[in-house]
Order: sequence, then structure tokens, then C-alpha cells
Amino acid sequence: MAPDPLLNRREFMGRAARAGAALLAAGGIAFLTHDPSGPQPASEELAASGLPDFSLPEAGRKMCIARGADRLRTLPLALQALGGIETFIRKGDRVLIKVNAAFASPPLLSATTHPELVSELTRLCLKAGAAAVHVADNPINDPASCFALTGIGQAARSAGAEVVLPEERFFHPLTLPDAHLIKNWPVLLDPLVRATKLIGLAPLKDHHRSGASMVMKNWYGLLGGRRNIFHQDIQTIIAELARMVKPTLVVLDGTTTMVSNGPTGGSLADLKDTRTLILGTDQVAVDAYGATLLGKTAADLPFIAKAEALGAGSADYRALSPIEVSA
Amino acid sequence: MSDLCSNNAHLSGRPRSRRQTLIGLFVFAVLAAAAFWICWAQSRFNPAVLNYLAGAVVATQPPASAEPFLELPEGLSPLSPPERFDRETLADKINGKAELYLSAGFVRLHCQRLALAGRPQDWLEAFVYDMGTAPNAYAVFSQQRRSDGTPLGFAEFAYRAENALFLAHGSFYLELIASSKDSRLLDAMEALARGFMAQRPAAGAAIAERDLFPREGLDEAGIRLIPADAFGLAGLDRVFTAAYAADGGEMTAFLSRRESPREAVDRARAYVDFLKAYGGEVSLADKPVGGTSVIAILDTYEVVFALGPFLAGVHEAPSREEALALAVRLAEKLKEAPHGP
Amino acid sequence: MRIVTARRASQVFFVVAFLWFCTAATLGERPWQLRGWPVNWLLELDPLVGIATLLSTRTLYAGLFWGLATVALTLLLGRVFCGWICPFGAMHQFIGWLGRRSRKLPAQLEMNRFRPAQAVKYYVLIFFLAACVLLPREWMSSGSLQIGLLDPLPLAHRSVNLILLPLADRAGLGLAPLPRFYEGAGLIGGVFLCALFLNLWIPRFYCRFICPLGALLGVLSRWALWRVARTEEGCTDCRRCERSCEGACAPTAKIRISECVMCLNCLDECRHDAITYRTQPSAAGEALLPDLSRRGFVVSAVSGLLAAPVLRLDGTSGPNWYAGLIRPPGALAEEDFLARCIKCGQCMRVCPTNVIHPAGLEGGIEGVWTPKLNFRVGTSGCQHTCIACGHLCPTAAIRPVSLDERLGRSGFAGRGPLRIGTAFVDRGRCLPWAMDKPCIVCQENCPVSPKAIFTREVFNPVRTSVALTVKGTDRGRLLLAADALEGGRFGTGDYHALLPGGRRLRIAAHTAAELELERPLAAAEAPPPGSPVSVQVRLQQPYVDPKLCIGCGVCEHECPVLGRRAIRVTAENESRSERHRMVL
Repeated sequence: MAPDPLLNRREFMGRAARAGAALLAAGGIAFLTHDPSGPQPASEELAASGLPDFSLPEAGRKMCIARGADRLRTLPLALQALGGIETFIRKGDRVLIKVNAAFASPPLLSATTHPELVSELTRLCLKAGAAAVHVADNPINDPASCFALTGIGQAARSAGAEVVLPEERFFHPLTLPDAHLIKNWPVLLDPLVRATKLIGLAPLKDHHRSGASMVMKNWYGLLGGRRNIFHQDIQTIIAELARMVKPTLVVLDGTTTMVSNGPTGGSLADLKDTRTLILGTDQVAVDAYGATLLGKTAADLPFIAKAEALGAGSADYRALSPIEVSA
Repeated sequence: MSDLCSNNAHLSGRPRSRRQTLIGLFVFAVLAAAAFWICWAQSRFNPAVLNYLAGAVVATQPPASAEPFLELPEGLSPLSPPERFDRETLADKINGKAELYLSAGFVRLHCQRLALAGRPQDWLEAFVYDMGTAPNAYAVFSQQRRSDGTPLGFAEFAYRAENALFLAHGSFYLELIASSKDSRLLDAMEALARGFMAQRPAAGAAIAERDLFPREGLDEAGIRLIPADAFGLAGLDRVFTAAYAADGGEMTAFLSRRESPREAVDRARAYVDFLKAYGGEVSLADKPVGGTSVIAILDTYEVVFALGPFLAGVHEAPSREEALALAVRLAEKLKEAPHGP
Repeated sequence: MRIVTARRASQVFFVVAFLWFCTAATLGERPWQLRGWPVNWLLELDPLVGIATLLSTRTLYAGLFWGLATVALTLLLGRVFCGWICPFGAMHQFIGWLGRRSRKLPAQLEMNRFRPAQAVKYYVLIFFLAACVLLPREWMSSGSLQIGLLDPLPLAHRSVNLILLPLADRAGLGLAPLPRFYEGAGLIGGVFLCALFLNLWIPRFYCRFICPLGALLGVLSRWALWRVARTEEGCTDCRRCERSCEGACAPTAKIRISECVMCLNCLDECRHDAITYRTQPSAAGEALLPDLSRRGFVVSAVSGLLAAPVLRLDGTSGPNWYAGLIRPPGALAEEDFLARCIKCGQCMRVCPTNVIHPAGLEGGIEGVWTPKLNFRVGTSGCQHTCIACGHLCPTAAIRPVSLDERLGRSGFAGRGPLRIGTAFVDRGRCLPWAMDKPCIVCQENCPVSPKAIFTREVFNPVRTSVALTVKGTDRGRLLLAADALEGGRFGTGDYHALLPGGRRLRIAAHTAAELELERPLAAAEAPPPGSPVSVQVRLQQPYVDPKLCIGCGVCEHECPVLGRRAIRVTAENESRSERHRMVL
């Protein structure tokens, strides 16, 4: 190729321009991405600091103890006694029902929330005008089989609610201010922040480690990560959970109570027909009363006093003048 | 531009070497600049090196006592944050020696490493033991007295060793241990000790019992206070001892002020019984006082007597005569002592 | 002065600087120790480190900004870095020169002819860069930085730090107080020597066929303003220029710009002034980019992109994590760590106690030659007041932490000290637990305060050849009925005599039939003749408090059970990973 000065110059200019552009691009990227200090130690401020407050101050501090063997009757009865479902659920609300689906256990063993309660509560919420009802939990065993074998999934869907299976992306770190344990811990946040009302639906059970598993312990199912570690200080974690979650309403199902070998039970001999359903807006009071059905007192369950000390409610359920009804 | 493009002005031939030389020199200049920069950079120490040089000392407790416990004289600066130990944690700091202090009524230890300003390799560690009472402080001071110390002029219970300074002042026992024998460091320690004393005018109580020992043959610096379990007998506490020369060795005079004459008699009897149980042969004497026991045990002689509120006697003397002689002199001095509480 | 003289001077300068930086990477203030020497400068000049970490972390860390200088230099002048700066390249060039100088021209031409296999390094580059790419975490686990395996600067640093300098120390250089050991040295040394020896077959073998940095710089040379070119007239095809061509770029033919390492030997050799360095393209034509097949490109790129996600399907970045892998204090959580570590060995070199070693497969394939701690080797455990490794890491795979953060004081008091693991007592091997031998070396050496190892006292009976019975007492000493005690064994202060009635007294000294106790027995205490007495050993059995243990490994290092230590650290409770928490 014979050298053509003009061509060469043009070619050179072209090349120089490209080189210059490449250099500028490289320099620009280098400046924009330059990080002089490097990765920092995990900062706790990035975590969310709390959940939405679902409680209704105007509903007051109320409690109802409904006696009866049939949940489909005691639940509406108890709600009626508290002023009706409309006191709590308004038109357009998105209700989240936090059930206990921890184990893939049949309803017969009373280790999980009874499906009848799920379907009945869903029906009532939808009747009150709720825009949507979701049922959620982060089970210990495999979620799909838990929701299926407990009957909760089927009951929810048949009544018109949607089951939310826990996925990794729904969990976000949360730090409860001044807490010892809930610090930068993954919590099932997404379904909660999408809801406008939160109802806790828990079976009444003995618990080998904490003494009892009732409505406050139910919130353990919102924790993600390797939450087993909290069993080392279970009383404190239950109290902090009670402080973290402010529900609209809690339902403690003592129709068939697991009085021994909780939380998994396994034998019908562990169960006792206590035929009581407890509803209330004060989760500490509800648990304090529930303890009596297990033959325990609040003194036997340190988490009750701890939760009260953290301001989650009052253990003196008698002061709420609970309404007693029978079905 | 055309120069670079034309056929002739390329890097070849004779003209080449000039251009090549110029470029070569330019490259050398760049390399020299790089070398300069490297040599300059080496003076700005990496933080890891600074940390390493600081001796990397540890403060393992939160500085709960933010008040400085030592006023530092000019020329001394802290090398590490102050540390604090109580009865539970004392062993973490001084290991097996903790027993000595704990049995003497130890309350708290503050310690800190200090260094000569600007010279971190010349450092000392200051230990301030709060022993609760002046006798306790004297007890630990006297029990660890090194024989090769030089007394310090400005304090009664203080002496200086080659690389350390020891001081008992009021209820405090101060130990300053230097990392080297550097004289500047030792001078700084003296200044520190003086400052310490000035900050805390002594709670007065001179150790009266020291003056009760017969003067002749007495090594002042060798007077010890055993706070507990003297001579192996539990319950024999607060015993002062002083060493005296004897033919064939050494013997020890001892005395202890008890609450009451009755207690002194009881203690004397307990000690005699103790010696008897170990094979001592007891005989009575009426010198220096009536009821004096002389015990021959394991090739030595003990003399035990009670005089007023004092339990006193001689310990491990080589012969009976010498033991009694010293006991007599001791009793003379005790008679002069105030017998009140 | 010829230009090649300047080039040689530059190569010597950078090789000396490189060796000096490696040597100086030891903690201290003496002139030959770290002080402030910029020991990572060459790694920072390496643009492949910068670009790869940019892809895997989306940031350009601190000193890696220097890579921009090399990029600028290459964009304007070509692969000057390869020919004038890279110390590894200089080593190859030197050995290659040794190998070919005695050969005749035809043999030399054969060594330096272009080979199509020179395209391999581009595929290597594409594969590694694709493997670095950090995809959104929700999609899949990605971003594995593996360029350190073959990038010449980390490779050279690793080889000198872990192989040559320890060898030199033993041969008399004596930089380290004790000889340093590094696990897996065989493979590292083998790779290094192999690379060097291959130059005797084909000069600059590594540079031509393997080096991904060379490939990157080759691509960036595309728009170089000046390039080596053959002039239009003067060339007689004598091919002398090619006898010393380092890049095997065929200067007489269509010159391959991406292969030219700017050694300028061709220019120097040519006797007809027919080779020059100019802005015009070569008279014989030039090939700007390497010949890569699209197929090859796609295969390298896709396999690179899939490499990390596929490897991590084994759960080792999740529940199946490597518990035996203890990383240095300040190391990031594993996925982030693997996105930054270039396996340069600087941390291993600077560690004052020689406990940081190159991993084998303990961290999986991705973890090969990344730093891990081995407490059996070295002079002590990980000193808990040392912060050296993080302050030397060029890419912040180990964060530079302050002493306050390391110890968990001042602003970090809420977090507590940095933990790299937890020690576990192996009760089946520990002397006081399993062998009735007193020992509390681990507790004595635990450096934290309060100590993380505490002991509980037990008294275990000692087997004697015959049962011991009392004969009587003599001046406070206990006499035995038979000569039952081995001389000297029980006088160490750990043995006690258990008298009838339960009283236990320490044995101060003894002979075969006589026991001198801690204090003489009073007459009342003497056991009746014929009564049994036994000897017990006082044992202090160690326990670890997981809330206090920082995993420093001093206990493991000091444990006298030298084979498999009776107290060993594993990575539970390490601060860098929330998921590995063991206690609240």
C-alpha cells in the first residue's frame, strides 16, 4: 500500500479521536466509581426500624372470652361481643391474617391454626368490605406442604383469601430501637407493609422451651434467617416480638388446647377440650388469660411480664373487664 | 505532524540515535521521578506500622473511670489507656501474685503504661493498688521489699531498685516498673511518685508498731507486716516481724497488737498449742513476763508471750539464750508503748 | 543511547522495585521493612485488577485508580507496559534471551514466529472477565474474581512472597526471625517455575499464550497513536528483526499490533533502518485486533458467565459453607470476599505470625490461593492487636480496620471485638479432660480479658500399682505401708493425698513410701495405721466461653497436643457473616 499523506493524516486523526474518546470514557468511569475508603462494616442504620402500627386506638382495649365447642359459632359470637367485625375491618381494607402454619401437621393435632377459623374469619372480613385478605406465615418446615397439610391453604382459598408463601425477597433487615435481639434481623416485611389491618390467629399450646405458645409467640413466624438462635433467650425474643408487632386484633384458639409436649405435640393425649376462644386488642392480656387454660400463671411465663415491661400491653386481663359469652 | 508522517523523520539511522537518546533520557527522568516518589512515600507510615509501633497495647475494659488516677508529670505521656481491676479480675493482670494482695485486703488496681514523651520505646507501667487501709498497704509493701533497694528521701516507705520504684503511701501501694534502666525514665518515675504523694496528703497514721522493735541490730527496711496466716497459723493476722542477727544465723522478733489483753493471751495460747501439735516441746519461763512459753521445735526456738494488748515473741532463733535475750529487749520496748486502744 | 537501552533500564528498575516491594512487605520501621513503602503500586498499576474488580464490585477501590495511567499509556503508545514495566514479563524475557542467544538465526526465527495459539490468552481474558460480572443478587450468585490465578502481577507477587523470599530467608537473607512456611507452596512454586522454564522452548511463552493482562492491553492498543511499522523502502527481508521479537508479532509481515509488546528489538536489530515507530501503519499492513473466532468468543463468554453461578449451586456460599475456612480479621463475607481477592499473597507475607496461608480447596475452587488461617504453623495465633493484613490488601477483600474496631472499643463497643471464629475443646484429646494430665496452657495464653477460656477444677483418682495404706506418721509426714510411689512423680504440686474422712492435702514431696504434705499433719489428723489413702490429681479442665472467644487461635497454637490440636478454632460466630452466628 503506497502511503498517501492525506489518507494517513485522516486515518491518524480518526485513530487519535477514538483513542482520546476511549481515554475519556475510561477516566470518567474511573472517577465515577472510585471508592477511596472501601467496604464499610455492616451498618445497622440501613435496617428498617419498625413495622406499621395496625392497632386501632378507637376500638379500645377489649377482650372477649367465648365458650363453645364449635369455632364457626364462637368466632362470630366473640366478634359481635367486641362490637362486630366492622369495628375492626372497614371497606377497602387489605387484611393480613398471621396464622401458625409452623408444622406440616394435620388440624387434628392442634399444633397449627385451625382451618375453620381461617375460612370463617376470611368470610367475615370480606363481608365487612375488605378489598383483599391474605394469609401468611414463615413455617419451620417446607412452606408449601405446611399450608397444604394443615388445611389452612385450602380453607383460605375456598373462603376467598390468598396464601402468601414466604420468599427470600420478602424479608428485609429490621432493627427494633433499643432492642437486644431484633437487630438487623430479616423480617417478613413485604406482606405486612402491603396490608392495612393485621389479625393474629394462634392456637393455644404448651411450649417446651418458653412455657407456652400463644398470640405473642405467634409473631415468631415473621422472623427469617437462622432464627433458632433466639431459642437461647426465648423469653426476651417473645417480648421483643410483642413490642415489634401492633396488631389490630388477636385470636387465641383454646377450643382444643395442647397442654403437654408442645409445640409439636403429636398425640391426642396431649390435647384437652377447653372449649374457649379468646379475642382481644391487648395481646399481653389475651396471653395472660390463655395461660390459665394451660394450668399456668403469668408468673410461670416470664415473657408476659417482660412484654408488659416493654409496653406491649397489660397482663392484668381482669382490668379489661373481659366479656364472657357462650355459644 | 508532517514530520512524523514523512518517510524520513522516523526513528532510524544516525538521526535516529538523537531522537532515541532524547526519548531515553525522558524515560530516565520519568523513572527517576518514580523513584523519588517511592522514596518519599516510605516516610508516610502505613497505619498498620503505626499500630505496630505503638506497642499495640490493649485496653480491655471500657474506661468507666474516666478520671485519671495518676497526674502525669511533664515528659510522661500515656502509652495505653488506663486499666482497672477489682477483686474478681485481679488475677487476669498479675496472675498468681493476686493471692498476696487479695489476702491483704485489696480493693482495686489502676494501672497504665506511660512513656517518655516522643520516645515510645522507653516506657514504664504504673500500678496503683488501693489496699483499703494504710496497714494493708504497708503489708504488701513490706512483704515484697527487695533487699537491694535504695531508700528514697522523700517518703518513709519507698525505695528504688535498678528499674523500679516502690512506694506505700496511705492506703495505696504504688509500683512503677520501667522497661529499661534509662535514667531519664527513672527520674520521671520519681517525679510521678512525688506527684502522686502530693495529690494525696497521707491519711496520717504512721505505722506505730514499727517503733516498738528494739533498735539495736534492727534492719529498718526489713520490718514486715504479715496481714494474715502468719507462721502458718490461720487466725494469726496483723503480725509485724523484724529480722535480727544471731550467732549462727538470723532470728525474727514479732509482735501483734490485739483488741484486748485477753485476746492477746488467747492468741498466745493458740500459737503455743499450734507449735505443740507439730512436735514442739514447751517449757515455761518467767522472763520476760510470767507465763512466757519457750518452745523448741525443729531445731529452732520460739518464745511466745502476751504483754498488755500485745502478742509478741521471737521466731526461729538458733538458741534458747538468744531467743530469750531478744524477747526481753522486746518486752522492754512494749512496756513503754501506749497500751490504749 | 539506543532506545532498547532505555527499555532495559526501565525493566531493571521495575524488577528491582518489584523485588524491593515484596521484601519490604514486613511489619516494622526499619528501612527494609514496611514503613510507608508503596508495596502495592505495581498491583495498582495493573489495569486488569482494576477493571475486574470494577466488574465484580461496581467500584474502583482506592489505589486501583493507578490502572488508569496504564490504560492511558496503552491507548496512546501500545503495550509499553508489557515491554517496559511488567516485572514478570521482564523475567520471561531474560530467560528467553538466555535460551536463544546461542542459537542460530533460523532457530531463533522459528522460536519467534507467530503462532495462532496466541489467541488463547484472549479467550482466557474473556472467560475471566465474564466470570467477574456481578449480576443482581436476586437473580443468582455471581461475581467471582479469578483473574488472580493468571494475572501476571498477582502471580509474580504470590510466587516471590511465598516461594522465593522464604527460600532466600533460609539461604541467609534472614528477613524473618523464624523460617516461614506456606501451605501449598509446591503448586505455587511449580506453576512459577513452569512458566519460567517454558521460555526455554518459546520465549515469553506466558506473555504470548496465557497472559490475560497482555490480552487486555493488546485490545487497548487498537488506537495507539504510534506503532511499530516497516518502512516502504529499505527492507531486504533478511528477517533479522524477528530474531529478537518478543511478542512474536511478525514485524516484517502484516504486523499484529495487539501482539507487539513494544520491546523495539526489531527496530534495534534492523541494519537497513527499515523498522520504525511512527503514526503511519506499517508498509506491509497491520492487523489491529487478534483473530478470534466468534465461536470461541461465545464459548469463553458464556462459560465465564455461568462459572460462578454453577459452582455456587453446591450451596457453599449458603448453608453448606466451609466451616474450616478461617479468613483473616476484616475479611468481607464470603461472596463479597471472592469478588475482591486477587490472590496476591501480600497479606500472607506481612502477617507477623505467619498464620495466613494460601488455601487449597478448603474454600472450594474459587478459594484456591485465597488467604486462610492455619494456627498450627507460625509463631503464635492471630495477634489480636494487629491490623496489618487489611491495611496491605490492594483490593479491600480484607478491609482495613482500625484497632478500635478490631478490639471492639470506643465507637465499636456495641459490636464487640472482631471475631474470626470460635475455639472448641476436643475433650477426647485434651490432656486434663482425657489423660489426667494437668495442663492449662490454653487458658494461660488466651489474650482477651476477661479470658475466653475458663477452667473448672476436678480431682481424679490416680492409679497406683498397689493400693495405698497408712503405716503411720512421722513428724507430720505420712508413711505408707509399702514402697508404692514412683519417685518424683507426685511432687509437682498437682497431686493430692485423700485421707480417710475426706480431707485432701497437697503432696509437697515424697519418696517411695513417705509423703510430705503441704503442711505437717497434726497428731489429731493422723489417720490410723492400716487405713486407706489415695492419690488424686488436681485437674483444671478448660471450657470456652463463646461470647468472649474471638477465634484468634493462640490456644490452638500453644496446645501441647501437637498433632491434631486438642483445642481447635472453626469459623462459627465469625463477625464477617451474620449467618454464621452461633450465640446471641
